[in-house]
Amino acid sequence: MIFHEWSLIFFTVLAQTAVGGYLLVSANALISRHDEEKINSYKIPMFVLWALMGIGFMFSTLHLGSPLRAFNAFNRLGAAWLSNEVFFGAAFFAVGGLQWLLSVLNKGGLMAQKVLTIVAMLLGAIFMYAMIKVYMINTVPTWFNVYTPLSFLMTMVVAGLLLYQWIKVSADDDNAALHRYIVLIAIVAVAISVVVTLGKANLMGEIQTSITSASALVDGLANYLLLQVALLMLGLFIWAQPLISGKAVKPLNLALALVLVLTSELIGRGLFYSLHMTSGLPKF
Amino acid sequence: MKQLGFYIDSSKCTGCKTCQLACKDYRDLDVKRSYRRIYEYTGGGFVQDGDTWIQNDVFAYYLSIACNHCTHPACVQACPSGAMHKRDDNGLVLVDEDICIGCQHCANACPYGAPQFDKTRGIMTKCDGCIQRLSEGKQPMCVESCPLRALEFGDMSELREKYGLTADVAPLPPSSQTLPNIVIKLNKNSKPTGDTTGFLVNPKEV
Ligand code: SF4
Ligand code: SF4
Ligand code: SF4
Repeated sequence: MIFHEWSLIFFTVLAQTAVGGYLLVSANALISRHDEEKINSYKIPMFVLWALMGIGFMFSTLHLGSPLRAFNAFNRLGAAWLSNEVFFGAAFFAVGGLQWLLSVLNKGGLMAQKVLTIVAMLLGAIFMYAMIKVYMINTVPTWFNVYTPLSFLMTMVVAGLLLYQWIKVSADDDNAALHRYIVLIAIVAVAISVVVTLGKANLMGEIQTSITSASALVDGLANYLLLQVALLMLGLFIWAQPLISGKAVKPLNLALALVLVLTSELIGRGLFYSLHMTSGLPKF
Repeated sequence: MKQLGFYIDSSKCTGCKTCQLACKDYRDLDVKRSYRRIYEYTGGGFVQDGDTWIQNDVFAYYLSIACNHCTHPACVQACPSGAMHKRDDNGLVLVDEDICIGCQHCANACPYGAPQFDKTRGIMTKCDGCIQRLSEGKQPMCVESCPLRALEFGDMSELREKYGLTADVAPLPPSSQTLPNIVIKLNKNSKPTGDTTGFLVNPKEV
């Protein structure tokens, strides 16, 4: 089984999806100079984005042995990456959530909303950076390599892009040209993502200490990898389907693709945690 | 600054696990948790020569490892709550059990398998160098229990003067990573750090 760290698997994948989606939606809104009315029209699909983020945070506290003391996680802000991750994640959620609230209530004026959006984008980006750094531990050879940032980034790009498109379609703010661009980028991103997955699998074959071989850590590693890639490809297929057959892009269609892509990402993240090992003796 | 640590005589250790059990008993640990663990590293085999099988570099030796109260503790660096901390006065690395949130990230980072998660209390625990006994002028329980007198505990500068600087041996990680406060007297069969000719015989026991 590769899901023993299920709470962290869900937390990291959902957070990366939400931040990836938020960065794209917000960049789009800023560049296209959305007015308050326009921003307001995104409120329902954006609620889904924040719900995903909220569920992610719930999972993150479930991971703790003593969740009532969760606030102690901030104690080493600036000194431990895990503290930084929790802090910037919470700040992203708070500032972005506030902006969403203002957009729903049509309050605060456009300028305030713009400022909040930019701040939330910055916080989200730092949150993602901190999340990567949490796992870059030099005593954990299976994490301390280029595939940790790459795979985290690809989750953000692929799932974030899909969530972005779903939000645009759900907010009735889409057009054929947009879909064409997105699907083209998606094909490239999925290709990179598969290369990253295979490159990582290859590296795992080489990591070995006196008592642990990375490739022996997961029973049926090859099958999981196959499933991960297959689900991603299937997701891409459904994602691109309307474009191929010349039909209108529907939210349901994209939602189905998103479920497949997220399942693939969850398997990939499950493998990530299952491939934990140290440079010496195994953890308890 | 004073730094306490262990001397581990792998040339004497027979892997009897008395230290592990003495610690478990004294600290009242459940089956899953062991503040001290005995790693049995074994390798080699037999090769056929005509009608007979002959030994081909068969080796085995034991390492009794608790927490090394490292000078660069990976656990402390990873800990978000500050519960895992290094004491200034004696160099011991301890868990403040009232602060720990049970995120277990210290256990991810430690390359010696020292942090032991207490599921029922939802917090991390580990070897504290028997700090309570030290304050009573006693030696740690594991050290006193060893029938082979293969463990010692004390000021690292004294232990290093007496026994040298060795802290690298398979299957331990390179000592440069965390600067563990241990001195090891090598078994004659010892393999260097990074050796891959052997394996851990007792993964379920550690
Ligand atoms: S042995 Fe592990 S738990 Fe102990 S101080 Fe070193 S890194 Fe920390
Ligand atoms: S389990 Fe406790 S001691 Fe270990 S890193 Fe988390 S908060 Fe720190
Ligand atoms: S010093 Fe004490 S707590 Fe640490 S291993 Fe020995 S007996 Fe156990």
